[in-house]
Amino acid sequence: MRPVPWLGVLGSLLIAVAVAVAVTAPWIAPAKPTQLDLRARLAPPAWVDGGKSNHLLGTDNVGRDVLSRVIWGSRISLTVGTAAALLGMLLGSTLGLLAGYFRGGVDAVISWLINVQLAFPFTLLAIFLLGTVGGGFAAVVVVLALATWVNYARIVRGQVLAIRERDYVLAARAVGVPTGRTLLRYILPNTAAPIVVVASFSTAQAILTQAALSFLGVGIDPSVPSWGAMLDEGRNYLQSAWWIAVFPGLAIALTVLGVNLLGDWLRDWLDPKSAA
Amino acid sequence: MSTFLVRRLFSACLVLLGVSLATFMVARSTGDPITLLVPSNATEAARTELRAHLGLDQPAPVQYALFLLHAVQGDLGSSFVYKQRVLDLVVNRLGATFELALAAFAIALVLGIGLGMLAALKRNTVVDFAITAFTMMGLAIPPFWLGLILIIVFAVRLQVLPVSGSDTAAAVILPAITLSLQSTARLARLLRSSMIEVLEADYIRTARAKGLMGRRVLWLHAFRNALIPLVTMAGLELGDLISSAVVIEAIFAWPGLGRLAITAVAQRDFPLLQGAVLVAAACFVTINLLVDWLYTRIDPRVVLR
Repeated sequence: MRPVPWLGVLGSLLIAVAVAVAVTAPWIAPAKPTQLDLRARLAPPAWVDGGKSNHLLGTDNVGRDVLSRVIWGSRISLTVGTAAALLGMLLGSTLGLLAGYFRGGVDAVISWLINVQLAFPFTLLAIFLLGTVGGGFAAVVVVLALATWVNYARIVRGQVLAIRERDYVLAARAVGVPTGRTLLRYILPNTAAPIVVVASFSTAQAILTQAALSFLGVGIDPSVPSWGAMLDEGRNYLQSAWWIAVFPGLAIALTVLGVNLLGDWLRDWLDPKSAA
Repeated sequence: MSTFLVRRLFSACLVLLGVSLATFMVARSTGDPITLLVPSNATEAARTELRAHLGLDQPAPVQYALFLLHAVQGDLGSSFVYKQRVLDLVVNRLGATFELALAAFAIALVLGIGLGMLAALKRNTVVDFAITAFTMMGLAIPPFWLGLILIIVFAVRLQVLPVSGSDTAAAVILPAITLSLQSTARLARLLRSSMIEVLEADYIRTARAKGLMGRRVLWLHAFRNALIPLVTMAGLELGDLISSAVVIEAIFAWPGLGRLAITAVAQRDFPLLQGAVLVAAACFVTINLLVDWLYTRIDPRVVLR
């Protein structure tokens, strides 16, 4: 029997908590994330001198409840992270599948695209795209998918190159199974394991990058509560009100830690050889 | 060797061509740059004249060809805002970004290799667990958030290091540590697993069996082989550091390429933004060429074609 994968369990737990918080935000948040309490501006966390019991993690410069904003902010991080990883998966796996299966010219073009994408300094590219076409949920998701699709494309291409020579694929072709059906029925399922692993790390990457973009002011509309935007607002109050920036950062770190731990465990579980 | 270089250079040029085409298309998709260049009350005649002067009346493929022709001669156009050559502005700031990225790279290499080796040699001990916990946290903490925390602790509370700017040598310490965190964590994890794999390999057992002991086996046989995946990764990390420096520069007011790009977005200075992206991509491609070459120096089995 395998030992209990404690780190994987911890990762799943962290993710479960983050998802639960995001889903139940309207019920568990003590206040509305946009509600101003002007008499309690810059109130420190409840356990610090001068803290107020109705603002557990303190308030920001206009008196909004930090805890409530951290709770609501989870929605943006989780939805953007997941959507970007999935869109990247769709795009990257498809291109990787085509490149690996058809080789030749198709492979040359797709490999060229991969190299071009890798050569872009991503943060600059994201600022460039979002700065020119403007921010917004969809734009941010598409830009983040641009960052992740290469991860999928490279690994799927490599897998398909090996799988396409296997006997069962050759047999399928020999008996005249149409190409599309061969790709979807016989090849794609065998690349599922690495895709799942890449998906988890891509989600973590997307959550971190999305926060960085909001922090730089080119991400999602700053009036929507998000962890990145909170960090951006809090940086001006580092000396007087550290709690505005510290708690959303902690929330990001714990969520990403959860996703990474789950990813590590998935990788070891799906491919025991790589466990070290 | 020379055919390899030619092939790689050719492929690098193709990649840069793709990068330039993509940036050109995005920059052009943002609408008429003329509206950004002239005062809103300019006459239609003045607009037409400027458009012709800048070559913007030509069809897009011609514009792109001209852009390329100028770019290979080192002319990336002029900044809308600064009225200076984009290349000069970008190269001016590139030095500061390189300085920061290289300082972070040095930290990541030393710490990453040190921690990775230590964790592999002390596998499944408290030391290994502590290092693993450190690397997991390092990957999860948003680097810019770490930067803010470091500012609170070292610059505001303890007042031992400067908050921002690049006037003193000490000013590079906080941004470099911040920037290196993720790379350190990734390199340490990679070296730990590749070292463990090498230590279990047959040739290490053979080396030990024929009487070679301890340090000699460790450094001459094991470390050298465990280093191979690290070199590939290190090249990617350096490119990544240059890219991530953008965010870190914003926090520490570091006068590099990233800050230039962010101001360029704010002022809708597209030629400048385009130039910054292109030059950074060229650096990345060059670094990867160097990594490929370095590869052959440490692993004689690799024959470049």
